[in-house]
Amino acid sequence: MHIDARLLPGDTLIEGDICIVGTGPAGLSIAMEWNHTPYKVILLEGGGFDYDDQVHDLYAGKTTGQRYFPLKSTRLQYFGGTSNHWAGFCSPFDPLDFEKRDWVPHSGWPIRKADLDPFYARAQKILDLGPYEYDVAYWQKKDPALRSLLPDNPAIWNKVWQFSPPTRLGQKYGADVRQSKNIHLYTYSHLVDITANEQVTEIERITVRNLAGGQHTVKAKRFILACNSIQNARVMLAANKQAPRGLGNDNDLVGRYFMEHVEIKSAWLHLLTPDPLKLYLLDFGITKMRCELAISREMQEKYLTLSGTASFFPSAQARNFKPSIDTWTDADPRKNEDYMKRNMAATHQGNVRHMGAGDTIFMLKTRIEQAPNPESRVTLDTEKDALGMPRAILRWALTPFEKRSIRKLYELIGQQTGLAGVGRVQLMEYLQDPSDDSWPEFTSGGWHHMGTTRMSDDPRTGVVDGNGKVHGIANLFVAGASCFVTAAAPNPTLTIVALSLRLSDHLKRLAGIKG
Amino acid sequence: MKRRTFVLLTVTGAVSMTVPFTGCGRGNAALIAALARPDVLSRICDVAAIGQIGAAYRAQTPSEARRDQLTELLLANLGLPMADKGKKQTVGIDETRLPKLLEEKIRDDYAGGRIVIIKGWVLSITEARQSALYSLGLQ
Repeated sequence: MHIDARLLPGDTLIEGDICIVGTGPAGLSIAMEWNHTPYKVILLEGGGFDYDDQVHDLYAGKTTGQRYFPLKSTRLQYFGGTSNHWAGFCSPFDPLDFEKRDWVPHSGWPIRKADLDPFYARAQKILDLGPYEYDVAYWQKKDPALRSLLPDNPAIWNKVWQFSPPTRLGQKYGADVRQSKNIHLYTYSHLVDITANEQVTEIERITVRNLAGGQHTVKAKRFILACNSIQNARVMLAANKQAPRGLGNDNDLVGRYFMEHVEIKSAWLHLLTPDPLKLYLLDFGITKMRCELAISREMQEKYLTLSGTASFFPSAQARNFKPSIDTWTDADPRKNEDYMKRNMAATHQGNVRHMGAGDTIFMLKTRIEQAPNPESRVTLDTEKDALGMPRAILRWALTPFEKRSIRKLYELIGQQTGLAGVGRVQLMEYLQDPSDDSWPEFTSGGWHHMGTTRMSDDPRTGVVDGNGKVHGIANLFVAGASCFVTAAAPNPTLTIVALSLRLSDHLKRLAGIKG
Repeated sequence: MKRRTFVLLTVTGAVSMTVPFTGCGRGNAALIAALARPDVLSRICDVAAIGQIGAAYRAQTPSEARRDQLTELLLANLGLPMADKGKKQTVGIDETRLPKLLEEKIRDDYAGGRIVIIKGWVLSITEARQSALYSLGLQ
């Protein structure tokens, strides 16, 4: 059922078994797992069912460090959350992404890829993807035209992505939530405070407000913060009346290790003969899968690099390519989306033409993980938003490690391209001097916020444990990419949903529900 | 019967090796011209770009900046060392086999990680030297 919290009498007490804060891919995936159970789920959404600019102003904040998008524009605060404007890119993390890598400081999850596999398979259905098949051979068997430019080899392999329609989770599950008897969705319920018991070992209640002036209290047996990586950290840091450094922040970890993907044009591929490269190109809304070239585990170990991939853009499309950091500049995400759609439409025809005829020149674009960095972080501003919450400050801090890894990725792709005899690769100018650690102006992120409440079994190195429970607080959990320890190369949504389903199963076990 | 052309390179020390590219005798010029033609790059880049790559390689690798140095290295790495270094030097090769030998050597370089990055191009050491040799012909 749905309740508009603006219409509730002041200081209403809302009570349930589980309270989920946020209705994006993490929160809504968990909520739907509890539909038709005897448990009362309180599902809180800060906005309503559509974009509201005043509500979104609550997400505005400053950015320092590496040039970044306006914070207000990077996350959506209405039912369905950021799934309302995601692009649908999905690929699971690789086993190495979860492991401790001696050459990547602060790496190592408390869970393995195998722990997440069953949940990835379930997440595929939620995001309306195909089968949980990420072996390129599976897809090539279905369509022989999906030929590999480079066969899998010890250095570079073909990593599969699948594409969601993209699923707008608010649209997909809106009717189910409204009709649900045990999921109680409260819109316009923006979390502003968290109150624990005297020992700060258990959450007693949270406070929500809206711009209409309403304030309400929510009590539940368990609380799940499923806002987003910036907001999860922000509300935990701001809940500092009982824990001066913020909830779950005894070890000064909340907000640190903010990670993004570095997304940046990096090289040119020159082929000797025209090739449509059907396996690698994306036609939005049509392509169901594609590959990116990925650096192998062995090469990451040998050259001490991060995990990254390269995607292909035919020359006709590359000519119109504009870095997202230069186009996603408005605080209003709707304006940025309109611009992107127009830009995509302009390049679409060239892309379609290319798909038939083939091309000899392709731009290669990187998506690479950011090394976990405690100085890349979210902190609180002295300025407050309209509901009295301190605004967030984001310092996105990259290091030479990411740039060195990008360079090595293209050295290896160039080497394998030469070995295969299909062409040559030329690095773009900013990568040519190995002693140059600077980042060009067009360095972009992927709107992928990760890592601010990282996961570890040791409270000295993580905010939440391997299940997502905040260390030291019995009934507070965090869901979403803020729990990621490392960013890997893939877009995060599939892993967000998989990790959320895993948390949901854990909570069901705690509640005595058999799977 | 297949015609076999053996190119006899006869040089005396560095003197003959540094004669202008186009001024060599028939055999010498043909060999150097064949060595100085990076086949794959020439199908991707124009000659000016190959010249720039070659010049950049010579600047980056001063010990391989001269024609004689580059020729000797290229031939040696093809398994065609010049005999009697410092005196009369000769090397015998079937001219028609040279492109195939170079192609195999380049693939071997890529397989063995003998690559260099010149002006951003990820190249085999052999084709970088070929470009460098070509760039000398432009001077």
